[in-house]
Amino acid sequence: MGHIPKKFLKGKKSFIANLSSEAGTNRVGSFGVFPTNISFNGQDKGESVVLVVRRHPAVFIPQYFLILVLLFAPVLVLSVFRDIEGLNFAFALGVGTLFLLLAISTAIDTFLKWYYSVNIVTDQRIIDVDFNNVLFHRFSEAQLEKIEDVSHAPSGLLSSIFDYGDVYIQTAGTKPEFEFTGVPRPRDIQDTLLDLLELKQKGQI
Amino acid sequence: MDFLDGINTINWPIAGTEGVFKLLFLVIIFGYVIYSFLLTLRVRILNDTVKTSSNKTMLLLSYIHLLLAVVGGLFSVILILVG
Repeated sequence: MGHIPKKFLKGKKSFIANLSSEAGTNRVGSFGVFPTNISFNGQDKGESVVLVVRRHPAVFIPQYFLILVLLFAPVLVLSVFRDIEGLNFAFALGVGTLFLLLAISTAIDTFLKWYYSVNIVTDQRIIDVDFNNVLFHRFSEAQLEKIEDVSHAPSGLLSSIFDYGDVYIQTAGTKPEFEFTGVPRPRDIQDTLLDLLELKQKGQI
Repeated sequence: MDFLDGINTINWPIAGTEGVFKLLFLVIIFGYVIYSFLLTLRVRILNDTVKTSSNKTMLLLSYIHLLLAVVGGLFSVILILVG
């Protein structure tokens, strides 16, 4: 409980009981509880970060397959190009290098997109950072008191196997719905948001 | 005078059927390097948006990625043109 600010302990809320064992974990992961090593642009003094959530690693299974295909593609490409006149070993090596680079690049790109597509829940607001392509990213935030409804839904077979899902947050702001996509433990996130909202409405945080 | 036969003929490295493939892969390499550059720029912006203790590592990773793309891309271009 040492890493949980005292203001959260007053209401004896269920989210504290669910999350207290993981509080203060600062490793890079998909589900961080009361992390101490994160801040964001516009964070107020005294504002505590409660949850830092990223997509579950299983969400990226298609990308893992793509990396495997790119790693094995040179073999296929070489067998195709072997019959084309005028192409020699240097060309094959060049194409092989390119595919290897693309495989490494896809791995790094996937990792960076996972790392920077982050959902943050604080005692004041929720933040949704979407980084899905290199030309565009979105930073959306809404005050906790603007939350009207929170729901979650597992999406697909993989989400049932690996226990992840989407959390939908209806707000009264300009962006009517926040979506935490493919996040682990959606039930705990929903419970945390609703408990924080209750604490906020009672003026305890 | 046989040595004058090919005097007006330029031997382009990209020509014929194999040239189409070479051009295709050169375009892919060019796009790949541009993409890596844009990724590095985006990571720099996002580093200022959400700050964690791992941000420096991520920025370093993106720079290594860019370096790998440029050096590897250049290496591939040379091999493809020579091949």
